[in-house]
Amino acid sequence: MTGSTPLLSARNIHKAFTIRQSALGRAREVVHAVNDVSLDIAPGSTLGIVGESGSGKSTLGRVCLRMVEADRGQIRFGDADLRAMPAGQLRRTRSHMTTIFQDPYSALDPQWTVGRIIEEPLRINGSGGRAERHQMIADILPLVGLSADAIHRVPRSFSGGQRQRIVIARALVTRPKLVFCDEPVSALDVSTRAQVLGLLRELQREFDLAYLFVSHDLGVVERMSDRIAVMYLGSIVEIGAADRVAQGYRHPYTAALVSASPAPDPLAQRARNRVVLNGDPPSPVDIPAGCPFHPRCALAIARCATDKPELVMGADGHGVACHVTNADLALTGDGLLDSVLAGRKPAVERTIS
Amino acid sequence: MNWMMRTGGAAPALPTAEQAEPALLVEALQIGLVGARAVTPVVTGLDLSLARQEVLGLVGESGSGKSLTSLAIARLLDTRSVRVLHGSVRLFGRDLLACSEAEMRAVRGKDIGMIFQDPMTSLDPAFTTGYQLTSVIRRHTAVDKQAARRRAVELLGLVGIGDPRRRIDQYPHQLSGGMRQRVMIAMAIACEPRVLIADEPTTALDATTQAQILELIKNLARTLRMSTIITTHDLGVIAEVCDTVAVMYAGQIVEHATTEQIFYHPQHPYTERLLLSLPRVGVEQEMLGIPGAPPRAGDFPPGCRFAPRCEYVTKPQCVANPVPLKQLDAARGSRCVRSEQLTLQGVRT
Amino acid sequence: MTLQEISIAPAAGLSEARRVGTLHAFGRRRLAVAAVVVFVLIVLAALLAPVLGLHNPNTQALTDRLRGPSWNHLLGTDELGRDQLARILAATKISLWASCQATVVGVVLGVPIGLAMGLVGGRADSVISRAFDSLQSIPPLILAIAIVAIVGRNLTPAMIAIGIVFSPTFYRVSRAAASTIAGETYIEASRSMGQRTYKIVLAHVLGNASSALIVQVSTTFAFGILAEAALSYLGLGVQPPSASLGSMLTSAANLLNSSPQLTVEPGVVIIVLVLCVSLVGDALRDVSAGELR
Repeated sequence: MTGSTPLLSARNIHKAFTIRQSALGRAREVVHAVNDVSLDIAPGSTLGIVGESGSGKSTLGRVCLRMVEADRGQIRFGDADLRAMPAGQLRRTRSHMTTIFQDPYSALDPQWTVGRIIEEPLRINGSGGRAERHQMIADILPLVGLSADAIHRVPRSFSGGQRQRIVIARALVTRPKLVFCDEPVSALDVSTRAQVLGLLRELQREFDLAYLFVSHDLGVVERMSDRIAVMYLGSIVEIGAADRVAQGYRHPYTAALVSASPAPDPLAQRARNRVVLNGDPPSPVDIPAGCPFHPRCALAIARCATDKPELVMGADGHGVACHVTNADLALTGDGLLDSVLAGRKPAVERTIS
Repeated sequence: MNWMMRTGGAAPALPTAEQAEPALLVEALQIGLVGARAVTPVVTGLDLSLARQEVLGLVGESGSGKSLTSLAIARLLDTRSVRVLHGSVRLFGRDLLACSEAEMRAVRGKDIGMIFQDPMTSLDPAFTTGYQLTSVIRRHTAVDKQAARRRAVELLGLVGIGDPRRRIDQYPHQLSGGMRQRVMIAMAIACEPRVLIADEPTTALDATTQAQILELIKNLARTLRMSTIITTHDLGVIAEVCDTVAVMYAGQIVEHATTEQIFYHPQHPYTERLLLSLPRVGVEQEMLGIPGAPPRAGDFPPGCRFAPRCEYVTKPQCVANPVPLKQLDAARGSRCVRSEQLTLQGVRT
Repeated sequence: MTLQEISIAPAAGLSEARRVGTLHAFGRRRLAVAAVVVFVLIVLAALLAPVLGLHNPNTQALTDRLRGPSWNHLLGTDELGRDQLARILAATKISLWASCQATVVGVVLGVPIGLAMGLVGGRADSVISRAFDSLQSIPPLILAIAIVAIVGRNLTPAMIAIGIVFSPTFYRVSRAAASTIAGETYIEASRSMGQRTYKIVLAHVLGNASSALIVQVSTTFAFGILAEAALSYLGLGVQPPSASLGSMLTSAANLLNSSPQLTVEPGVVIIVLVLCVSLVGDALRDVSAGELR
């Protein structure tokens, strides 16, 4: 990693939600969404977070932007301590960290015109007068590929891809430094996806934006990110440069995730050695002791059921949380895949309930 | 065994002697949307042929009409808003569109099995999985309650649900998404139908669960010798499971061919652009998109429906008249007037 | 696209202003338009009564009692010789005004807090919801009678009482609407920009909840007319010599056998008013449901 200060720095974040309480107010069912996660985002770069449902990736993003309060941990945005910030300063800071949401059909107030929608963040922060705001809106529309007459129209008259462009315009009109992209293309068609992702990359270059890019689609994350973090049940199991994680992965779960990413190439797909996990992803209400992945892991040893592995960072910036692969550094990529496929039965049988 | 594994293997062989009657033959199907004043056609002139034991993928983006088509085959369209205007759907020679509703009820579940997209809402939350499964079994086969229950347990095991004797008495909300989808698959194959229609079966599932379900569908199609239609927007699913592919755009089939032909030698510009829009893990490739949006029903251009977005468009041949689906050879067709002139780029170059 | 999206898309076309769309859809429902016209005519007649050159509604003419309709008195006279037509128009004005008061009270008490609780939820929501539930568990007329007994027998206190009785319904409707809206992503987006809660309620929630609220207002207004009629029938609302439609029914009740027109006339007006308002409310509900998305 470069020596420069990260734009966003999170340390030891914990977040749990209580979803059911007994009559006496004691917590009955607790969702441990994020468990001891630390990460850094360098200015102008993209950190991709990939994981399936229940991995905690969306919660992590919201916690990092303080849209949801963390239970424990430290978050620094630039020089400032985000968690300790007073309300007024926090509101001003929000113009520097914005969000692009997943569902373009729900992210825009159906009663508002596009102009008013994009103006909202500018009004909240009270920067400049009406004329200045209108100019900023007029400036950003062509940058996201919308025509100037869009200002007077309502969201209903736009397609999904166009609505997402409006969401992007709203997120960028305050010229933020960090944009949290929460599954920004998952709700779009394949052909529209490519366009919107292309737009995001272009805008990143143009405005030197940092992205916190959350998605369940490894192909998309790899395409968009400089670094990738793989999450499973609230913990980061692997983190490193994008191509290293996608091809030279070192965690058995990453191997399964890569295997599950469909290759649109029939011969390659059929010739592929793939890992298909058994059982269903366990829920974050009931996180196994030790390594959260061990019940489904073919390489699990006795230690995996009792000690949660630390995320051990190598000198090259590639970190893995796995007792087995940290002990045998040769297990990466295809070699790891073969080991998993040939793997022994796990030492502890655990029925997936 | 805790892991399933799959290593390379040849594609399953298609049945020879294509003179055998196709399992499903759709001809000139036209589906329209019922508006306030008029009915607007959206799917037009659709021809489809599904051979025995073939797995056909119907791929298209939103608005392409693929779901409407698959629902129309099973006559499950909500006739208040969507209606079949024209055409025939022959299941082993029998025209389903001419059947009465009572006859169709006998066909659904027994001859045609259906898997729907969203397992969260496709199972009735008020009844146990056992009840729902045995209902299907007893509706189409004359067995008593105990026999039906035994068969239901067997089916749950067949679709890979662990501890089926316990699961059979559980309610849908007690099962995960992947398990609910398996239950739906069990219901679909309960009476060993000859045709299976899967409408976006994995779209609502996680990546790792998706891989499991696709494996399952593929294996079941093979062991139960079902002819299968899978609709999806995901070309990865097609590459994984299908023998043949039909690409839909704006209510029409624009190209159909074997899976390998579609991926390596597409014959329609839309197919080409679709392939180029896909990101692949570990492959350096610029992701292009397709600018613009598909035309809405009622707003179709007079000529080729893809012409406004096509980079190869030439006037007047592409825009003057509706383009018919041209048979390029026995097993492939393309709805592009210029398919012979163009050399289109496939996945491997 | 889901089937629903496909089927709605061609109908939506390119209509850009939502208001025009609403008016247009409303205009197609002829019964509702007729109801609006009738209602407006009645209101105009009631408001313009003083300048229409009619008899004074309070002038008694004891020699002219209980006459049937005639050219001089188009709807006849009542038991004190007062012109029935003039009295009915004056009474209509009072009834409408009374119902307005009750509706406004109900809205002011129930809507702002309902919207806020729907958006925010939490413990405050539980407590306040239970409070409104308790209020609603009291039989409405009895509550109104109790309030009137404390505050006084006039029309305004009576209608405020009715308004209090109406407020739980407004609370519930606005809370439900706000609750649904609270789950929308644009609310989360607003928060992520640092917008304050009360501004979110005003800027986003109120606008999107308006169709549900408008429907509830029209329903409540209709009930208000009936409630006022009931209270006045019991002698707790408007006091003589003023009359409301309900009090006219009361005083004419004894004369049902001999002069039925004295009950029928105000009765018909009540029915017509309630019917018009209900039809408009129904149509508004259909229209707003049909244009979701």
